[in-house]
Amino acid sequence: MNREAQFLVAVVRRFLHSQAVPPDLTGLDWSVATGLASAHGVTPLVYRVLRTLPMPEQVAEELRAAVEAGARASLALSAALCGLAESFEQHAIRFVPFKGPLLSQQLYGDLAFRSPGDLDLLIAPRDVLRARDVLLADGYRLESPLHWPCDSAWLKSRECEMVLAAVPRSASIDLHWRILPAYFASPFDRLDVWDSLTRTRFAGRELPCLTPEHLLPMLCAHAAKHAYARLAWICDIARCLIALPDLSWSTVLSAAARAGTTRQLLVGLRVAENLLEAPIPPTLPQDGAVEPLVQLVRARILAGRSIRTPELELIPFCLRTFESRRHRVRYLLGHLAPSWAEYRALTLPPSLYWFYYLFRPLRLMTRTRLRRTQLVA
Amino acid sequence: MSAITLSNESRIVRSTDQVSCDLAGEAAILNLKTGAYYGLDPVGARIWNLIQDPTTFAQIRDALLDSYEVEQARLESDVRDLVSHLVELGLVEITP
Repeated sequence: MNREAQFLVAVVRRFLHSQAVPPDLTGLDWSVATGLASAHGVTPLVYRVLRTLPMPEQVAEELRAAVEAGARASLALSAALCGLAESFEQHAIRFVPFKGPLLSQQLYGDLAFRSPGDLDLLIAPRDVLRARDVLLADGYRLESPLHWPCDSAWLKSRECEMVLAAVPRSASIDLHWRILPAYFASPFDRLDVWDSLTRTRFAGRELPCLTPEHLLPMLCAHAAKHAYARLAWICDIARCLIALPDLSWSTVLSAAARAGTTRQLLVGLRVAENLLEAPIPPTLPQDGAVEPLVQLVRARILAGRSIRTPELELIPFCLRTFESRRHRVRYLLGHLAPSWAEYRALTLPPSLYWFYYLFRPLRLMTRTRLRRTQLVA
Repeated sequence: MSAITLSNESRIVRSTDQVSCDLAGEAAILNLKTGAYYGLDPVGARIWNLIQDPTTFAQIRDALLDSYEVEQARLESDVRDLVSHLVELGLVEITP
């Protein structure tokens, strides 16, 4: 077990539960600890816990500077969100911010408790190109690559998203037309979030947001897609359980069961409980496959491993979180679909799009061979 | 900076043209119209938290007198100065 990773988990637990045991500061390598906090996206939480404890002055200053920079970034993203909301409302484009500063406010009551890097907006598929036009007219430019300069190419994204950035670069906007990519099974296969949106006060205006019954499965599915690699994602799940205690569990569980993704939800809940003592309901469906996955996540986080899970670990992990063969096949087939890397490497017109399905395995094989050669050298 | 006239009943509230966040007891504010950032110390942040919804000058004064050992006249003058400054910056609004 890595000392600093263990410390970090204790700090986040203390943030969530003021009665939790204070973290032990003895024998810490502070540069490792603060680096891990940053990589896990929990610096704002860590600073709030540690500032009351006797930490070295230089570390306090560094953390304070990082928290201030993060707060400025959150405020800038919030300003961008307010501007976008106004533009989209003028053009009658339906949207839902589902991560970023709005999530920070929903879960933590303040914008500066998460470290969002961009704004994630869900747009109804029929409105995506109109939303793009509004953003381009507002001075944003496309960041994600197109395989060809035509409208249909904008929607050819394996992740079901397009990325635009403000000029000069201050905010990055991810426009999603699905909450999770089509290849990744989740309760949202069978849920229409547009039917049951709620609204929340944000920066003096009302903005649409996901209901608690959609927010929790979204957090669990998103974290599952990345093998729960970041403590911030686990903390979000824990905080959701603490801040939204009145969510309807029967709604959440029945939606997960209908989509055949109960295990995904259970792993998210049990990981949050195991690492951060999140309050989960006493009666949940039983699934023997959940505990080994929880232990994998726990071991990986407490070992202080790299945040980016290697694909050779990520893919088997995700396959184990799916209950049905159909979902596993769908996930694997998704990995065969062309990604932005192929678009960057090769420009093809829509009539030749099928060629990307041949090109992708070739590109991956070449990349793997090159890596092996470099390793041998 | 000239202090504006504030009666005990003057209602003070954050402007809708700003967005703010907590900085571990302090506050950071971004003016959405000008793009300028501002910071408030813990006492300023306390006032900022009090005016999330319309709050009278008297309510702010009484809340602060409960929390800090300070002369009432001095406190009223400091609150007036801060509120005047925030009004000038377009971060708060006052209704008589």
